[in-house]
Amino acid sequence: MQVSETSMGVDNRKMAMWIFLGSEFLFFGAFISTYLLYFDRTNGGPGVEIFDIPFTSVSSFVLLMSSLTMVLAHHAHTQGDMRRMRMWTLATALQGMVFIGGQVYEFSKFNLEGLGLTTSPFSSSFFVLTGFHGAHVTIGILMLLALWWLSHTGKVREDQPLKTEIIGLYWHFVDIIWVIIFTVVYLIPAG
Amino acid sequence: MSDTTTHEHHPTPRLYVEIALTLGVLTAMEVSTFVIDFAWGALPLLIVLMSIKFALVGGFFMHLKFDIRFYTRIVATGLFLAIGLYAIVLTTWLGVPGFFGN
Amino acid sequence: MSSATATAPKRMLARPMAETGWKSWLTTVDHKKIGIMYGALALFFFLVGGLEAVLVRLQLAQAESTLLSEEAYNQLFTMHGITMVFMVVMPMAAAFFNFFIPLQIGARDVAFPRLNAFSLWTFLFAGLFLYSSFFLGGAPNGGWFGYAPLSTAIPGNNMAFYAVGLQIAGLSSLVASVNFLTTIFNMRAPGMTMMRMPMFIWMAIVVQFLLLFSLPIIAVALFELTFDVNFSTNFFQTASGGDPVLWQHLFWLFGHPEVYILILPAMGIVSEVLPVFSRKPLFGYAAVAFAGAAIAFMGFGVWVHHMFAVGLSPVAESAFALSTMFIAVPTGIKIFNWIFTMWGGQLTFTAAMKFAIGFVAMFTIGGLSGVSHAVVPHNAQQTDTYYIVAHFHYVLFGGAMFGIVSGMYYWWPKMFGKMLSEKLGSWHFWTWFLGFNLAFAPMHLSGLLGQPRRTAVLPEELGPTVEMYNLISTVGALIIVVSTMIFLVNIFQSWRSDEKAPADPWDARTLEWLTTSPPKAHNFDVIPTVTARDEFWHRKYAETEAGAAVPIPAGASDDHDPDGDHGEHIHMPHPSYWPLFMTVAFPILGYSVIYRSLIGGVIGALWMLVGMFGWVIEPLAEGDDESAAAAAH
Repeated sequence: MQVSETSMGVDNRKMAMWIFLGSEFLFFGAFISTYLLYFDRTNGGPGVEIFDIPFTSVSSFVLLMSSLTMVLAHHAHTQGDMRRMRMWTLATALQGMVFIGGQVYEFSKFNLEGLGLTTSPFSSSFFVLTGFHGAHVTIGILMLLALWWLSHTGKVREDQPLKTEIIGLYWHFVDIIWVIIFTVVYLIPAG
Repeated sequence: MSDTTTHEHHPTPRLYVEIALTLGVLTAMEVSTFVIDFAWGALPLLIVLMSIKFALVGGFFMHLKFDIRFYTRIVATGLFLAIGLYAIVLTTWLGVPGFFGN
Repeated sequence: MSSATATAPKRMLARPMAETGWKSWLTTVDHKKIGIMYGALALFFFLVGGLEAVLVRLQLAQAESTLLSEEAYNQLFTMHGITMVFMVVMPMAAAFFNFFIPLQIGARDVAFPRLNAFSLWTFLFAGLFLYSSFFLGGAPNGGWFGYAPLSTAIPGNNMAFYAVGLQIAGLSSLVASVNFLTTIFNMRAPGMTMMRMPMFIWMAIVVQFLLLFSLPIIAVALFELTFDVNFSTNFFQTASGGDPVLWQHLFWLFGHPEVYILILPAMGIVSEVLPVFSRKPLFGYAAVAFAGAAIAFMGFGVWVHHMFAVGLSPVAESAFALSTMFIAVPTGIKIFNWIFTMWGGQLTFTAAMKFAIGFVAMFTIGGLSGVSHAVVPHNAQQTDTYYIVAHFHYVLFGGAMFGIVSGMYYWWPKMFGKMLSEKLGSWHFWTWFLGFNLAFAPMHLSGLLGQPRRTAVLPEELGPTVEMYNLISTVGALIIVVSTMIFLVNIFQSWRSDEKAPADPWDARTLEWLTTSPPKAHNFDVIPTVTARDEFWHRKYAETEAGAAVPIPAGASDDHDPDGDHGEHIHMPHPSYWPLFMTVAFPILGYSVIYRSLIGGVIGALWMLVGMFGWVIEPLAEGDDESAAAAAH
């Protein structure tokens, strides 16, 4: 349908993405709550003192800045500037990859220091929460790369900024969840 | 394809960069709680900072401030439902024997 | 379009184009066909779930029976619950949502037709996956509610199938909720404001919101359970500090909204059927709509009433006792409005109407026992007894199933272009009503006399009265079997019959009756413009000053386009194999988790990626260059 003919005057796909994002709060909220219940149940293993706040701050900053490049990618698309759109889209994906790389490093280090998936309720809830977030970021990276590729092949055209916008909404949401996780999982318990 | 949203105040790239810088400053303030001892003030400070970052990303980067209110309502419903329900769940573990919690 | 399958030479696998033939059902994106498939599958699972129930009842017909082993019994009652909740009632509702939401709002399809097909196939694979467990070591046997840590400690893969199977099923409904909400909010016909929508659509909105916000919670619970079972995490392991009560919270945070998900569609159906066969509009439309929303909202705030025996504090329990009692208020509002709808109306007791009235009566009984559960001290007596079993069967069978069957009799002509026999329908109703009450009424008594739930052997020490009640229940169950067979005969004779149903056999009120029976692929030749609630009725009838309905001669009560081409130009989405292709990844992933196969997991993940990519680059209809904008006119 043409957007002008829809009951609420918006594109179905954008509405669907927002509805989906509304549900994701319940998803991450449950994992965060599990973590809040268990963050001090360390079963004799390491606790929150194992966190490397400076390191995680840097990777959090990277993810946060990737939201900037994402929104610049969308803006470029609305201007029909596909070259810049592709550049910013790729930049966003790359920052996402840096974030994931940071997590992989961080988790490996924790493993070596005695904090594994199965060590304690604390460790299980930490790794599963951040792991699912990381999985969401990874899916976002794949979508960004697909967007980048398809704008090359012409499947994503310059008069279709909505496609970039919708992927952007997902990306910003994943960033927001990390904003919450960084504070609630890392900063508050470690402080 | 494009929304029939109110685009009169469509943010410019300049505004986006300003917001990003603000987010950076807010993050630095958050991290400072790790080095500076705010005592009992750390928790509310962190929550406030986190909420401001959330609102900035949601309102501007996700364009909620300029889009139909339906989107904000859906997301607010999810958010407040989550906070409310999980807060209640967690309070059942608070240890005020006989009165609240187990 | 022609039914040829060879089209663009550049494509490796050509797009399926057929609209007829059995293969077209596998690739269809038509909401009506998808709805029929949901209904057929749900009916099949109803027979399976019913068989499980009959076996349980045969075991319990006598004290100290050795008909079934305890292991077999545990699998049967667990699968009976899972099947009836997830494979019968929910998909039945999905069948009606699919078929009738677009028709009732004056649209040609849902917002995302391929995603719709995806939901259907995901549901099918979830069911097959769950049932495959019978052949792979044993079916889930820890209760449909899977309480930890028992569910993490039972030897074997039974509960792993539970965790993974339900996860897949949940995804089906979550995706569907996004689809339906977008459809209802954004695709209504011109003039159809929210307050002019049929009540079935209001209930559909409420149910989709409940699904949207509750399914993620059980998804997390099931992930945590899966990880404990398969990857040795510590979510519910007390030895390392885990807390099984967390499972209960997460499960019931979903589980309570789930019961409203189960009942509200039937309430929506009854809100359609009663006015039609009373020849009166629904009494208190706004109150009924608002009450539905209130039930949903409050439904999120009562879950702890499933945990009154866990040992939480008196403050918590009191708060939830109150909220549980309050939820009876909007429910009562609906019941009164249904009764007032019938009051003073010209009643016709068709089969659909009988089942709808049966719903109101039986659900009220179930609701009353429910309110008694809210009294915390009495709950301590009732919990884990057959009193609870009586309650939820009154609301789920007496409620949801009666309502669903009412919908089947009501909407059958529209869906299939054939009528169901009213005579057989009447036999069906009365035997169903008799069997149902015989089966479940005695359970109130045997429960209060101490018969425990989920116990394979009926203990002799409960005495001969309890044993007699159980025997009566078993007889009731067998009468339900006979009744169901009458229903199946009715369906069969309708299928064999040549008699075509008219477009509007019931002189009904809502837009779906404007279309042919069954509707054309594109639903409406001309999208109707809506000027009132019960739009279709107002096209047929004007009201005299005394309020009587007077037929309007040559009223615009059929969908015809006098100068038009009967929809030849209408551009509908084309079939697609991507939804079915993609859902094959779910059993692959599921079995990989259960059998801890990394390579299987990688294959499954790649399969999904390929499926998603293929889907995204395929246009909704061939020749489009914009995937969603062509959702037809």
